[in-house]
Amino acid sequence: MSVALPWDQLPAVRSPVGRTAAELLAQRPRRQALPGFDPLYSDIVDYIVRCTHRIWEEKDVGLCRTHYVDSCVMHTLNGPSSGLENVVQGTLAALSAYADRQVIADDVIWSEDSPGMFYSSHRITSRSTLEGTDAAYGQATGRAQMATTVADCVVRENLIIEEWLFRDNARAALQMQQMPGAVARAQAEADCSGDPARHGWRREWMDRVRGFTQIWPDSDHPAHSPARVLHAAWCDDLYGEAASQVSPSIEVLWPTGRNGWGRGYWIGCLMQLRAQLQHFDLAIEHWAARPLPNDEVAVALRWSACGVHSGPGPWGPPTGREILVAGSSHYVLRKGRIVRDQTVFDELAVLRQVHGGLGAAAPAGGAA
Amino acid sequence: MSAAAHPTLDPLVMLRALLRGHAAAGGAVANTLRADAFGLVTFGRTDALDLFATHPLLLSATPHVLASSQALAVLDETADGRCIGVFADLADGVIARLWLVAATAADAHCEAAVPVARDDFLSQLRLLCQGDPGDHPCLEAAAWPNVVSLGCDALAAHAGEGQPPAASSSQAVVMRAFSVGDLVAALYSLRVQEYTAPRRAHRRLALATARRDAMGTVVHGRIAISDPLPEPAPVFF
Repeated sequence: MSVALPWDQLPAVRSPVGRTAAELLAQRPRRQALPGFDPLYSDIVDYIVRCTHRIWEEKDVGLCRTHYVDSCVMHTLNGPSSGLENVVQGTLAALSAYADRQVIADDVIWSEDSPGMFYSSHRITSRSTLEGTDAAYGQATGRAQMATTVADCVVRENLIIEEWLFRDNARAALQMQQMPGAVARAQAEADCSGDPARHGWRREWMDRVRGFTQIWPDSDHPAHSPARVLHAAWCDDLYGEAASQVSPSIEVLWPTGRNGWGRGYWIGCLMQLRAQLQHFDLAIEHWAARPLPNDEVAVALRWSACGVHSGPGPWGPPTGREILVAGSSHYVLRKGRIVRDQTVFDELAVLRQVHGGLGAAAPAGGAA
Repeated sequence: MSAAAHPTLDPLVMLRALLRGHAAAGGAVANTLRADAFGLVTFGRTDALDLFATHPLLLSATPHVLASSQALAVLDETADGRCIGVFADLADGVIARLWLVAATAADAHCEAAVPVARDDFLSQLRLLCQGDPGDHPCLEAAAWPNVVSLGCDALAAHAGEGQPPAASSSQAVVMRAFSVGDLVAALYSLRVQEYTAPRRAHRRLALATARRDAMGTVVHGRIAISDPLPEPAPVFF
């Protein structure tokens, strides 16, 4: 992966970390070359934070039409969605159910991968109340949701071209008083009827992971160490060696409420996932890094992994099904060492596959 | 408007306002503020203000305060004589993260979570206090032994509460530490393994401050320790 701009350039383009709401929303003059972007935006972080605010909080959903290309593809672990009008319709549906959604920008970790072509990994915690109708979680229960999402976007000339969306949906289900296993089972049952070809995207995604040739961040790029650490743990099964590269006081935030401190807990999270998936492959597909306050550095890795569900664990008894997991890991580095790992993937969509949904009904190696 | 833009904003003044749930504190509170207080966790400025509006905490007129450019540590005493602590991460003068080391509220709770099996020690040669001075840029390296000893003291002081702690299986993790001259402050996560069958563990927060003499010995140390924090209900899919 080549970049047009070194990761630590343009320090005036600041992360949202440690900034007040008023400061984030204050309008500023342009301070970064953004060819073809709306003059409203001062820099790429401002573009991401402000357009999200305008669309979700100010309810100008139609701005999607000037911020996404017509042919935009949005990748999720529940399947891809294509076309701008699907983005508009999905946003309207979410807001009609959860109107008071606050979209809090935890961080925006970005890179300029070629001149004018930006990549942004936007970690969001959205807080909302179910006061409308949600197809999955009922009507006006008044229950609050506080789910973390990472939206990775490719942006050019004010338009999002492609997006990968990772949301902690199992946690969201629990907050809605729903059991993720039951929700996933129902989704899987529905997936098993109809044309199975509609799940072909999953096979294609897994084939890409299986055939992936890993290239690495340059050794002087902050993402180098996290990428190597993740690979050492999940691909070489050298968890102790990997952990020796992270802080003994590491803070860990993983999906479905996993939250703890220390190397032992960090190993526990990584090993729990890997122990359930044999014949495991990992693809680290994109990385970016940006400076944080207090001389810290933020790193974002987008990754995909797949393996055969052959070990017991929280997903239930082994099913022999081939499972796809895709997520984003946001790290905080201090003096080059990881002190925080916030990883987001959709564990509800993983469970959906475990229960045979999304085209995973046939065991690995079996008939499609 | 941020504290950085208005350097006259004193973080302690803003902290007092935040702990009382005053909206005026919002001018010096990060939009992403995470607050761990009273056995509750909030994310975002507005939820933190709501939390402290419903659970206000009034610091005394003369709390014990240590401040660096990146953190603020406050020890104080409640009306009934309990030592409590507040630790804030600062980013350009803005309160970016907050821990309150005190009693838990009657409505304390935490979200359900997938249980994770863990080995905090990775060796039979167990360290009671885990951390690395290199992770704490505002800490003088010579103060690290004091940080470790205070962590061990915190673990020993209140670990079991009714149940004897499994001394060799409990651990303090240094979450934050800094020093200012001969003063040192450290925030810990205590994982207390009780000596029961079946085994149970609970977690507490501890905040310690100390003065070191010329030999590096702690001559005056104070420790606040929280009540046991709520344990998440296990999620079984």
